[in-house]
Amino acid sequence: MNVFQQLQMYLAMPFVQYALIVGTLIALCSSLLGVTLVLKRFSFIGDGLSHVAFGAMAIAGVLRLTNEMLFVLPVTVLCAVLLLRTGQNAKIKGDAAIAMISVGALAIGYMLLNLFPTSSNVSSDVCTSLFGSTSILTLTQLEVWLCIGLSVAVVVIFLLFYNKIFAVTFDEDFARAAGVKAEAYNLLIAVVVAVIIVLAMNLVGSLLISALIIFPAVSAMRLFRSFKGVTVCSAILSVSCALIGMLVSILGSTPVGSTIVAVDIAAFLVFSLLARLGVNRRKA
Amino acid sequence: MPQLTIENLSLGYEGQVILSDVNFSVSAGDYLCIVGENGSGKSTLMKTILGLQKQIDGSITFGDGLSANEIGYLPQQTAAQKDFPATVWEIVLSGCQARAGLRPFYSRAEKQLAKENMEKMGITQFAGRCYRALSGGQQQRVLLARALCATRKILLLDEPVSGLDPKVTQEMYQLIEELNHKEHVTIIMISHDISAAVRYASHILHVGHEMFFGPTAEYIRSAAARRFLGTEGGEDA
Amino acid sequence: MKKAVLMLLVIALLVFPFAALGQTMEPYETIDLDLSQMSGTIAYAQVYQMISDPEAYVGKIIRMAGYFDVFEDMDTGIVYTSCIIPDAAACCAQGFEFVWAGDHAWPEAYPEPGTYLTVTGRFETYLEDDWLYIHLVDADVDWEAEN
Repeated sequence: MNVFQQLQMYLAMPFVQYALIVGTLIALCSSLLGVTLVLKRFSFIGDGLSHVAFGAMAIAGVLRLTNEMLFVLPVTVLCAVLLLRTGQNAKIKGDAAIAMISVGALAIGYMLLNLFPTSSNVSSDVCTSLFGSTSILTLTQLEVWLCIGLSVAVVVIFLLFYNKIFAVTFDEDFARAAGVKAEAYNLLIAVVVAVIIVLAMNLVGSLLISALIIFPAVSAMRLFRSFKGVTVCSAILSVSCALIGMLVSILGSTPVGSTIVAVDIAAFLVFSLLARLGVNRRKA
Repeated sequence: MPQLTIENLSLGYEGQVILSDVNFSVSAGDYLCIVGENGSGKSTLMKTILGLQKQIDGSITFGDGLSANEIGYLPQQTAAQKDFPATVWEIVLSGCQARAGLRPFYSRAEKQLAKENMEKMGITQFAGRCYRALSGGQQQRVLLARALCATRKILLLDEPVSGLDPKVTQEMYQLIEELNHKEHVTIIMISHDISAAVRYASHILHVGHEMFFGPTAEYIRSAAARRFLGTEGGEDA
Repeated sequence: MKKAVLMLLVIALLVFPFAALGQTMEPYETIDLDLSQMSGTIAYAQVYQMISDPEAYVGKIIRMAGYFDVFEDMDTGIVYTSCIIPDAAACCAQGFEFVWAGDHAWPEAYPEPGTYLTVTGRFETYLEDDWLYIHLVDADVDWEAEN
């Protein structure tokens, strides 16, 4: 069987089709807020939240919930709101608080998984949650629809609030002075980020989520000079990298999450090289 | 009736008072410069007026048809902005955000307003250029055009000429003066440059241990100015 | 409950002796699902599908390749043989129990645990202690003997 026949066989499998659809949508969502997270110095929230999501996943497992996402999602959203508050109010303590919450969640989550194992293979559970080894290929029907619904919601919210997100990202003080409800939009951004993280956990696992969010945005920023250009480019880049990564991993038997991130890194290197060569001299 | 009245204002961070008993008022068409030593709380005062920070005590009242969301602000540049991928057009247009309210997209009128303000600031030719590739003076013009999209009445500027070379500084001052004279925009500006302040401003607010508020001519004769201006002020008095 | 398995095993051995007797290299003409031809990632996901929705696969002829593993229940004396399918991330390997068709002496006729083997059999489910288990019955087992 050559590669194409093999690919054809895989693409006929329903769970591979679901994985490609859901993976593409998740990659699209996660790239949209990348620029905002990087420039607003919100990356730390993304990182902290991904660990929280892991802890929540462990608790959901211990409670033997049939659908973990329905538990993990509200917990992560709640933590996003809390982290945003602490991050803004206490300037120095905020950093430590985030580190404490995120590392704490990681430790407690791992301990719970070991104390109350839900399956005979604890390392497998941990590995799946942290690196998302093959989660995207093992989604249940409900999870597939939940992912599709949430992804569409994220894209619609982003489009509706695009101009507002730009305004509060570029200059929050100015926007607030002019009467824009910046706090409300910050909250919206934090909630959307939490949703993205819970979604992305299925694609790359909680440890690699930041990479999925940040790499496409930073790569696009190398070449494009307008906010719109960067946003569109990082969306296209993220979706392409996710698709290539998923196909490579199912054909070459590599772990899905890390393969996607590896493709993202490769794209970043290519974009950096192009920027060095002066492709960005062209306008916008 | 003044556009802005500040009475017995105390301000600071987390309960720690930096400035207290601030009293002044600004009427339409005034050009007020806020001067004082570094760390005397000038920027904090401006942020408190803008509502970015809660006052500890006292009152801030808007009048003469001015509401709190009709203020144009030109903040000091943040580190993030120096690396921000955005075109001049995107940034100027974002000044209309408060007008747009919950509407997701900008209206034709708002785009027209952004175009007019870019023309006023002489940056129309940079519309598609990247903000971070512009010179310091050009960047300030972009931010000024954006501030004008948010207001036609009052501009608050936080050290608009810091980091600019003398020639560009001069141009910037002239631009602000033109806005004040021709467009009748009220100006409140924080300045380090005391000689420019007394030259352009109609009123001076001096903050620090000694407070002063009044017309520029009176300020030059005041004790606060004499100490602050040093020999320059002494000669005038 | 373990008795039920024993019964099942006995029945399996009784009902399908012909398959074992007439054992040739290729007793299954058609294979519904050939995991041995799939990449590790896909094979893993496919096995996961079979575990989460076993009803859909009952009666299907399945071939897989992996490492031989044995679990011997000390209380009942039952020997469970399985084929371990390694996954891409190297931590989530899944074992798939199989019942070798025919009469084979334990442990002499069996390969060493860890031997790479190919198993072809029919997918069935069974209950044990109220848990639903899956396995391949009537299985053909193939491996390359070590030198």
